[in-house]
Amino acid sequence: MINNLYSLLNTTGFVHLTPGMIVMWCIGLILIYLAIKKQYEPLLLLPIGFGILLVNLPLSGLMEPDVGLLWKFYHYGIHWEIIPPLIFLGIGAFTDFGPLLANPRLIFLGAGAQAGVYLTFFAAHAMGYNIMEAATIGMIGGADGPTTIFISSKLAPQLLGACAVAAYSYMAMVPIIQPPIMRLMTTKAERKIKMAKPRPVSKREKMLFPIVSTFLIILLIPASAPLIAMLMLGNLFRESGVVERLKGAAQNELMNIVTIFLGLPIGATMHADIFLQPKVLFIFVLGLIAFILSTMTGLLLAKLMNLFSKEKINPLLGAAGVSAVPMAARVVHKVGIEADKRNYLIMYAMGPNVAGVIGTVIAAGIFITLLAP
Amino acid sequence: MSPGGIFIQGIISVFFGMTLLYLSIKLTAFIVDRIAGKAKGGAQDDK
Amino acid sequence: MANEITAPLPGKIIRLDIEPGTSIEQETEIMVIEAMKMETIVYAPCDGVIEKVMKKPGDEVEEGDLIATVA
Repeated sequence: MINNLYSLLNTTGFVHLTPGMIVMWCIGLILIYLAIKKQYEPLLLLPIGFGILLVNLPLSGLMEPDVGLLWKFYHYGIHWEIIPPLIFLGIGAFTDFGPLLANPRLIFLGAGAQAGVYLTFFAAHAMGYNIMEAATIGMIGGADGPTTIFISSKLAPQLLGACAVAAYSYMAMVPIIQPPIMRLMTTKAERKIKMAKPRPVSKREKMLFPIVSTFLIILLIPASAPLIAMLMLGNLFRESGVVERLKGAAQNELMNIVTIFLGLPIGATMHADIFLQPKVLFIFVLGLIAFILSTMTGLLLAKLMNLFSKEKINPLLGAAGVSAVPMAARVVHKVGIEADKRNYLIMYAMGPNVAGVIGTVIAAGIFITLLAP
Repeated sequence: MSPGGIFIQGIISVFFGMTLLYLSIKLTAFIVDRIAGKAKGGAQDDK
Repeated sequence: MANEITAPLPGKIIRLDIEPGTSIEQETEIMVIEAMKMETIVYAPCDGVIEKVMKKPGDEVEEGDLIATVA
């Protein structure tokens, strides 16, 4: 009789709970709270938080290889590299490259911010992460969720959950993290610099850009092809003006669907046994450093460019080189207005901001080319 | 490959890639200007 | 000489505080433009009295579009 009761109890999850799981519940609930109450990237943090709760319920088997529902989402969506490129299709359909085309030299600011990625990669490796893990951690500094997930699934799947959550939570905190650095590294006079009115960009040029850049970037860094191809296809949908329905689908329906299938399995990679290790938790520290360094290198490059050019660039634009679109550009605009209420930087900041997306993808492609097994 | 090597190669490649992109934007703008110039007698395009 | 008020950034006008006859001073808030889901206050560029208003709230404007003239 007692034996029967005991085996019945054993089929429930209660006896299999570990303290780690309960800690993970708290983390999951905190993410859900931040998503709902503070609206920090709710579209992602909400499903991620729920995924964390699910995978830390014992015996559910949701992440059991070949069987579990969330495992299937993860394996066929992320491991097979389908979802991050589809997100890029949507981003492409959203993105107006006009500000970049109008002011092409700002493209270099999008590259400058990638230096933070490499610096952090270097630091992480020096601290004992293996070279592939270090590359994935550095990528957080690019402030691009899908790219971080993409490189992580290729190089360091064991860190995917932590890197994705770090990337998305720091992206949500851009308005808190960046302004103090920006104020520290620029003088008020620099922040007041007004940008020259950009040249007009024709419709035809905007249409040609996705095609030309696809050729160039994929020829140069073939490993970046899945992300760049989708980004530029989405952009061609947008600029061609003849496939409004496809553009709408990429931006809205498809984007929403893949967001669901992205967030849930990311949360599900965060099982207590994998996640609660000093090595994984320290990623959050390194990720923050990556983010700060990227902001700084962007600002520094803008100042460096000012030494050589007659038409001065407002150095704040360098901070928009991290690819958190459009949060970083908005932050630049706000800090610019603080210095001079007639300095409207938003459209100029969108240039380095979208260049940052391309720069991050290129950086990821190089890591994958050099390191992929 | 050593981390130092990846570091250097990475930064150079990103800047190289962006430079190519910069040149391609300039080139596209130049070509579009020329075509528009011939077809319509003005650099301004249909907007 | 008549002065012009132009849009300093592209976006949608969500508030317009001027109409013909409004007298403005430099630094008066004259309108709010929304760009990238962010509201930006636009200040008057000069002193004077509004002569004519070309746009209305809800209009999409490009950078440099004429919004109003000032006498």
